Order: sequence, then structure tokens, then C-alpha cells
Amino acid sequence: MHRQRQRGFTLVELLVVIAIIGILIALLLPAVQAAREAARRSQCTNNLKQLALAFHNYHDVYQIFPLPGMLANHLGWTSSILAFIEQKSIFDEIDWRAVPDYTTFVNRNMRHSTVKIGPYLCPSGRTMQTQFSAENYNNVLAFTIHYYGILGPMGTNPINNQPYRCRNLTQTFGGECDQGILWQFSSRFADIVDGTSNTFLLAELSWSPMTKYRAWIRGKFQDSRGVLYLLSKNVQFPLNSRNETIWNGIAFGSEHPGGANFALADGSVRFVSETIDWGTYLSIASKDGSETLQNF
Amino acid sequence: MLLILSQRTFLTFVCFATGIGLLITTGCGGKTDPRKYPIWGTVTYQGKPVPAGTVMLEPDVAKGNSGPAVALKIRNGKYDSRREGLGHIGGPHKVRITGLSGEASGDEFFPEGTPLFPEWQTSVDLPKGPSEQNFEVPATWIRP
Repeated sequence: MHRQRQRGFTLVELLVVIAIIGILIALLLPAVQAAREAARRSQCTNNLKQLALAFHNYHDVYQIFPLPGMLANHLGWTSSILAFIEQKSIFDEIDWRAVPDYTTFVNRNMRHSTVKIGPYLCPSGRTMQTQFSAENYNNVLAFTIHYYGILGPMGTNPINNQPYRCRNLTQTFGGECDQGILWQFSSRFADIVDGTSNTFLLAELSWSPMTKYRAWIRGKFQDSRGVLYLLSKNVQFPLNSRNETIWNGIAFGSEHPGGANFALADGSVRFVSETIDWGTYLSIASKDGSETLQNF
Repeated sequence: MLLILSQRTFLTFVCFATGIGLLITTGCGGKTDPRKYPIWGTVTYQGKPVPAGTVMLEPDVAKGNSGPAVALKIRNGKYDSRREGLGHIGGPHKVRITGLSGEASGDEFFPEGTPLFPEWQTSVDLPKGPSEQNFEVPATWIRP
């Protein structure tokens, strides 16, 4: 009597099949991840575009861009433009009165920051909330923001070799530069003499880990260590260098491979490479440096 | 015998497929970042290593150099571009150094410490190749 032939697969056959499936998945996975990141990046670009349009509409109404921050009430441009990004309900709730100190500001307005404002966040970023646990309301952490204004470039104008105008650089918070659009007193279109297509309006700052993400409602702060701008930054470190040593000069950057998104003052959004020429980077950050620009 | 042979062919197949897979995913193209020359060294201030901070190298336009800048982190008095997978483009550079005390300020603001000194600048002509550059911030360079 002979043995019945066993039905089914041998161990080797099974292993081969599993290995082939594994390899196929391994080949597919990076492509799927890249497609997902591409979708997030396009959402990220779109958010920045919405903000640039909101800035334009704000300018149409008030003939000047919003202030980066106000010491009187600690608020900044994120509050000013709310009515132009379909968030009028929050805009109406914000308490605009001057505050005697930071604690009063927190009590009056921190609760608004627990609302997630879609256009303020880049989906590719990994940190969506404040990195300071005290910024909460009823134990709900405040949301942060991934798009910032530019106080101005720091360094040397590559055309005339003059230093860009900056002040109080010895302050602990790092001082402030004056030649960007969102500098201390903000700008009108007429101030952008380099041309709106050659000047950054907003820049992406969405890299992680970064310890200095704060509630989006906070605009400006001051104590014995100087003035801190929470919604506008100096351009003093390279794009994607992931540098946060100077509070007012945290490096712009993102989780997208190779660069970050920037909105120009004409309302267009560009993906700028992290290997951009340093002089060109400073030139685009300034609104009135009379630099001639190469392609960027 | 047959089992051993099939295991061997199986292993060969797996190795082959993995190799092809790696080639497809990584590709043959290299990085296009021109910042390829490694640099490392020490940063001291008042005789002591700077606990944290930045060595920033920007091409000196006044001396005819241009290209992307690079910022390198200082850790315990040392910086090393190889640690960050970066480099510089070579040629004349302006060097801007910031140093932090390394002691947290106790509030929300400065987990790595407050600036030890105002940003200090110098210039250096970097070789188009690996190099060690040590910087000593003058002891007289103090915050007001």
C-alpha cells in the first residue's frame, strides 16, 4: 500500500511566497509614503496661499499689512487676519484691550488658541501643539502655528556690502531686524521697493523637534531680557538648518525633503531649496535692499 | 539534498530580489548639495568650552565667494559637520558664532541656556577639503 500524496504547500513554498509578497510590499511602501507626503505638501502650500490672500485682503481694508505683534495686548497678526480666513467668530471673541501683564493676557485670550485653525498648520509638520505645557485652557493644550512673518535679514547685503539694518542684537532674545515686511511696524505695499515678486511675505517653520513652538495667539512679549517676537523671525540661519539658538532668529524649515514653502508678497507660493545661495536668501527677505536677484 | 538545494536557490533569490529592490528605492543619483567639505573643531570662550550654540559659515561675498551657508551645532565645546551629514563649499567665509550657557533659565524660554556673549564674527579661508578649525571667542567680548 503506498502513502497518500499530501495536499497543500511545503514549508519552502510558503516561505518563498511570503518573501515575494514581503519584497513587493517593501517596494511599494516608499512610493505610498512619498505620495502621502506629496498630498500633505500640497495642502501645506495651499494653507500658505490662503494666508497670503488673507494678508492681501487685510491690506485692501487697512492699507497696511497687520503688525507682527503688539506689546500692549500681546496679540499679533494671527488674531488680526482671523476675519479674512473665515474665523470671524473667534475674531469677535478676542479681547483686544491692553493688558498689564502676561498672566492677564493668558486669562483673557489663551482659550482661543485651543481652537485648531487649519490654515495655520502644515500637515507635514509633526508638532501641532505648543511646546510649553502652561499654555492650555481646561487642560486642553493650545495649538501652534507653522507659518511666520519675516522681521528682516541679518548679515551683509550681497550687492553693496552694507550690513542689513538690525537693532538690539545683544538682547537675550536676539534683537530684531527691520528690512522685512513684517518688521516691528509692518509695511505697506509702497514700502516693498524691491518688488512684491522678489520679497518674502511669510515663511514656513514646521520642523521637529523644535522646543519653541508656542500658542498661535501669542504675538509679542517683553521682559528684562528684551523683546520677543513669536510670529515673525529674523533670517539669520540657513533654511532647514534646524537651528533654534536665537529666539528671534529660529531657522525656517520643514519636514519636506529639500526645502520649505515661502509666500511672496505678490501672493504666490514658492518651494525654496535649502541649498539656496545665502546672499539670494537674504536678498529676498529684504523689501528695500535694492538687490538684483538671480533665479531662485 | 533536494531540500538543501532549494533552500540555497531560495536564499539566492531573496538576496537578488532585495538587491534589485534597494537599487530601485535608492536609485543611482547622488546628492546635489554643494556643501560637501567636512569641517570640525572646538569653540572656547574665556578658556572654557562653549556648552551649546552655533558655528555659522556664510560665503564671503566681499571676497568673491558665494553659495549656500551652513550652520553647525556646538555641543560641549565641539562642533562637527560630519555628525550632521553636512559640509561647506570652501573658499573665503564669514564665521558667526553664538554661544549658550547650557544652563536652563528656569522659565519657558531658554532650555539650553541664555547667550554667553553677543554674536562674534571672524573670517576664515576654508580649504576645498576636510579641515579642522578651532575658534577662540575673545574673553573681552562680553554682553553689555
